[in-house]
Amino acid sequence: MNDSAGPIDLAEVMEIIDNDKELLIECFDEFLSDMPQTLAEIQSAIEQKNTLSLDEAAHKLKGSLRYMAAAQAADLAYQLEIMGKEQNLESAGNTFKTLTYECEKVKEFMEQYKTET
Amino acid sequence: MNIKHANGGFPILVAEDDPVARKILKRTLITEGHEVVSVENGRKAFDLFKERFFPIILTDWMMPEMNGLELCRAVRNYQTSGYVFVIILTSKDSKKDIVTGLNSGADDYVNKPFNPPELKARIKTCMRILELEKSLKKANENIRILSITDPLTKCYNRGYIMDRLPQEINRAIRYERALSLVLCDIDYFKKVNDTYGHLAGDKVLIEFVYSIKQSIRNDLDWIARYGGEEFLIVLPETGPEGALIMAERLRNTISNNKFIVHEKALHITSSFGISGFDLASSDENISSEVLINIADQHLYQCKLEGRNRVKAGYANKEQILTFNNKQLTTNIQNGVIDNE
Repeated sequence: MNDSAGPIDLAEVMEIIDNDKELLIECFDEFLSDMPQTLAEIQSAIEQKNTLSLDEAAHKLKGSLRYMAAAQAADLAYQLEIMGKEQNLESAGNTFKTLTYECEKVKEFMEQYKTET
Repeated sequence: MNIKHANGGFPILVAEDDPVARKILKRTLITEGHEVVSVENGRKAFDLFKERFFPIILTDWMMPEMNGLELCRAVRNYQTSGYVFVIILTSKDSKKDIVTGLNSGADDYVNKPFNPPELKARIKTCMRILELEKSLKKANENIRILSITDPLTKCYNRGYIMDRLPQEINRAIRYERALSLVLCDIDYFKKVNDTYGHLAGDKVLIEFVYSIKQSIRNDLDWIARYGGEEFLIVLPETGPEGALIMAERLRNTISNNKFIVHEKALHITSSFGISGFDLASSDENISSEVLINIADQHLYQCKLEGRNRVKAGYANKEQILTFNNKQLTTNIQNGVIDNE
């Protein structure tokens, strides 16, 4: 796996979890179990034009993605968070689609890592 | 209160809604020997904090129900038994939150995602501050004890009487409980000093206080040096009759005791003047001065009648009024119980 080009920077995430591989697997599991619900919350917030909920759900996902060193997906979540804060949902739908795609890549990476370890 | 665990770790309360961050924080802190309790929002953290004291709180900023800022303010407004060191977790893209957080009572901040060595180092800084607080509290407590202790006999001093006795009297009046004072001194103490020297006199005073402490209830009664060789024994929940029995026993012990000074056995005697509450006739006008004066008059009467004796009486309304009008005479016959 290429550490920096993939959806997750493995070197960075190892630094964050202090090289504790067992903890990394636990974090992946935690993320994978929590991500579908958070993505659903974001989608629902966009559909209902609930900017406060979008801000909160995107902020939470951004936090998890940053801990997992998933920079691209984290950046997209951050963009949605700002849209929620600024109450401007014009491009929220498109950004959400890209975020969902990036999160899928993150998920695949995590599942592959777990299989290989 | 000992806030630190035996292994050197501290109890840490973590408030973080992101489950991944919560897991990493918990593991990082546990590996450092800390006890970590983690919850997913500020409301749960504060509810837990009210039940149990945590000297360190690590909180995220944005959380549902109660955010980190509100948690910080709530903790600062809550009466706690010690200082609480609050660290906020902030995103790199919210620099202005750091200033707001610190102004709201947070002590430090850590950027998310945190770097474990940095977090550990910051927790160590916080531990140093908590240790400093502990040593400061200990020093303050030592100073407080010194300020109320007689340096020679190690019983309480006169300053303590002035502070504590009014509280004892108020309590006795409010709850209609008995209270007695015993003012006692060593007979012919000047002779001890003149004959054997002041160091010998000091030793007698120390032994005298020790004998008294052996005769009173440790958890309730207390003794203070009133001045020179005079000591005041305060007996809550004890009427003059009970005080009389205690004082008589003590008088007997002292007079039969040998005080070894410079390898010589000294015999001393002591006199005791007692004043107590008459709950039926006492009123709110009773004061420390009145009670002490009545005990002093009984002590004086002991001296007039030949020393080595105990005299007790109630502080009744008539005496209180007389004392309060500053017209006290030596007429203390009413209500006096003699024991010679």
